Amino acid sequence: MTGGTPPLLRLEGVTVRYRPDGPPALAEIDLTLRAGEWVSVLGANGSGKSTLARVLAGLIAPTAGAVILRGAPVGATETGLWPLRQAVGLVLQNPEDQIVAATVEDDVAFGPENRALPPDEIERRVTAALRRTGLEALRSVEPARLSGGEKQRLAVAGALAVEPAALVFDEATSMLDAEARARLLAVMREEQAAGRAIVHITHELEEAEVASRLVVLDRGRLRYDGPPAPFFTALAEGRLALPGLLPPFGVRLAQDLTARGIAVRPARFDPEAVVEAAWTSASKG
Amino acid sequence: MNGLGTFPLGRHLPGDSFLHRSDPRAKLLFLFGIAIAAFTARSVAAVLVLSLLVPAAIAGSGVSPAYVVRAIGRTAVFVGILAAVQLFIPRPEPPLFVLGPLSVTAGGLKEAVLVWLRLLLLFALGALLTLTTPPLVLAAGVVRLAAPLRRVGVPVDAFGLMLMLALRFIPTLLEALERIMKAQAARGVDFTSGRLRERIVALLSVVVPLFAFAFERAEAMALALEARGYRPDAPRTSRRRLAFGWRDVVLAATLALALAVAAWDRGRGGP
Amino acid sequence: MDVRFEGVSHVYGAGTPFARPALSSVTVSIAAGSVVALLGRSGSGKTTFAQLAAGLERPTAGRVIVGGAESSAERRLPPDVRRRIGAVLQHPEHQLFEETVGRDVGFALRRRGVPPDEVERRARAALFSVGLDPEAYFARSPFRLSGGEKRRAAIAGVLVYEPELVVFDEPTAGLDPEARERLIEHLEAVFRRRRPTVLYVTHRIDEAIRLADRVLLFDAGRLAADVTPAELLRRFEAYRRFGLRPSPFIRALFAVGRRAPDVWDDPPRTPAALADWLAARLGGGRKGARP
Repeated sequence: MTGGTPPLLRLEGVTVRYRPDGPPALAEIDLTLRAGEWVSVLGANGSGKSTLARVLAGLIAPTAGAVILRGAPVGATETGLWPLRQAVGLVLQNPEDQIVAATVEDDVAFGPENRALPPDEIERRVTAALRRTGLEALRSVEPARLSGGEKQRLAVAGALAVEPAALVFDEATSMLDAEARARLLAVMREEQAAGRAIVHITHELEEAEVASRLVVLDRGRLRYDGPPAPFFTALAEGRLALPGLLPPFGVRLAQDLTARGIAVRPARFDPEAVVEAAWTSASKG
Repeated sequence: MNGLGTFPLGRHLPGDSFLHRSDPRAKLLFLFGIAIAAFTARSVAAVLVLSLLVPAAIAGSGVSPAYVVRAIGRTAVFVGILAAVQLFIPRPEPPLFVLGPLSVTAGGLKEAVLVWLRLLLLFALGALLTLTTPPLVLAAGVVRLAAPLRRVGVPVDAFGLMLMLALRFIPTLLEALERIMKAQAARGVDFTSGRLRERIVALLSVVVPLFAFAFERAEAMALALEARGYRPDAPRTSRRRLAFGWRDVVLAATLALALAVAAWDRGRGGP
Repeated sequence: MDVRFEGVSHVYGAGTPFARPALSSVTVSIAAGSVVALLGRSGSGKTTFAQLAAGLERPTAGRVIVGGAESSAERRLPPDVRRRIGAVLQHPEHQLFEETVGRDVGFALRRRGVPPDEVERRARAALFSVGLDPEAYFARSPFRLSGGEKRRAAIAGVLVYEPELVVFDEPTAGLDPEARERLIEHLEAVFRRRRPTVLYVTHRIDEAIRLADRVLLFDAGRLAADVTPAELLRRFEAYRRFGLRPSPFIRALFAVGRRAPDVWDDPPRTPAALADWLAARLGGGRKGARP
């Protein structure tokens, strides 16, 4: 960690229980989020991914542990959580759940309105957010007329209009078709390049390969926190198992080939690299 | 079972008509005033006169008349069942005819027709109100109208949000209802005929999943609102400023006329 | 059960201000027992096509012939034909409503007047066919299951009456990869064993290639292509304009194709088949072995 500025967000020993006697949804999580990084969070359904999203976005306060925003601990009250909600935007799985207004531009304005910003500032932000998500042309359209991918980008625009330092995507790509998914991921990459921290919660391991860091949850516990490559290598070599998740396609192909007598040890696990490695291995053997 | 999603309840149609451009507060007050007028009027004739507002409002909304008339027609059956209750309230007058254990009187028949017409009138105007007003604007209108109640501790803003969510939720629910009905129909549920027991099962097979769905969605929507910084108690601004205009004066004048008709009708020979 | 579309168009909310055209003049024949994948962007008309085939919507123009019976603007499919059709719509778990999984799965059979002991026997078999152990699941509440289990229980509730035509609308959406893989394996086995006509809507191209023997590609309400999975793979670049994007599996196939163009003669349709093909080609031996 750099000495000068504190990280954007830190979780210290965060535990969340929805019922006092029940199992924790999150157990003693330590996590740091810095500006401009892309953290992919992996885990099966029920692993605590969505609870983590809610803690990061300031929608629930942890039962135990601390959330620290730019060096200052966040309070557990509604008012205490307010700065966190301002700093972290959240995009959910189902775009339908996030749309409140009757036109695209009114919907984007909802967040700034809630912060009681003056109308001309709202206008400026709405325009900027629509431009960043490629929705300018659809400004006065009814959200019901949008495609699934456009609705999801509208949700991103709504979050961007608040000008957050981080964006959390809770399985936001899971209901989209391939094209819309690619488009949303491109918007996410642009926001990362603009200096925002991106937290991408997913169970598509392929999408996690672009992450600067990988965080793996299993039944509320942190199983891995580090760069993606060593994690995928450990998966391919069978040193690690992921409950509920399948390794990325490239890793599985490498495993399948090794089991069939073609030993492949690619440096990366994208499909092309694994296929090339198979040819190289065969020509050597 | 088809076409539930096109029912005008809670649906908003973008447009540029007289009603679209009227102030939401004026439209709300108008609807409220007409409700008072409809229930003040005592004669079928007077309520029919008030019903002339429906074609006028359709003309002023730019919505296709055929569509509105069809929606009113579909509602007429359900409202008819509600109104029919009036037939069976015992009244101290000679029966017109006897229906099993129940006797229908002239007074009961008149009351049933009155209730039926009043509810249909309010349904039609209410539908046109939501068709011409975006939910967020409608909620803003309610909040502004009810603002004085804040001083006596009424949570006006929370109420406004609930209203907006409810309106916003109706099309989603109708869509889910349609999908669940299709799925159960494919499994052999018949929604149009069958013995009482089968009908109860048919109803359960839709209502139970619909509730589960509604809870799921409502929770996610509440979460999304909070994430976007909505706090019922916090001050907020609106990019759409509400302002009264000449259209609202027309609405007010029409309402005054309607109230006068109703008052005259009641004074004319009420019981 | 065979399905024929003759100049079929469909508009949702026809005659209302909310009218939304979904399908326009589609003509196509589907032979009994074939598994047809329906691909295309969201809103391209594939879901509408499936619902029309199942008689859940009626065409606004043209006619759909299912098992010899007609569905059109004027005519509804007769009940005896509808009873032979199954529908697994989006989020099928929303159809669960009985107190136990067993009762819910048996629901369609009870509606068809099947005797109780046969209902139970067949409900257990249906649960087994989707990979849910009847002993463990029969008496449980469907509302206490995990997302993937609910999904499979709901699908068992459709498969239980052995429909001759089944439409699936994105049956794996929202499941985690392991649950998805398990569901596909079970569906594949059911399709192979019972040979129903299947219309399978998906936006996962790998599932289409793996399960289907024919692919219908929709674009803006029109039938844009009608091909075999092998043809789809061979001409993949041409179909990008309909929203298709290469999955990692397809990227691997292309990488293999650059080295060995003969892979396109009869392209492998699953990751395991691809590994087998590579092993045979590169002389790794031990064909078919999986860890």
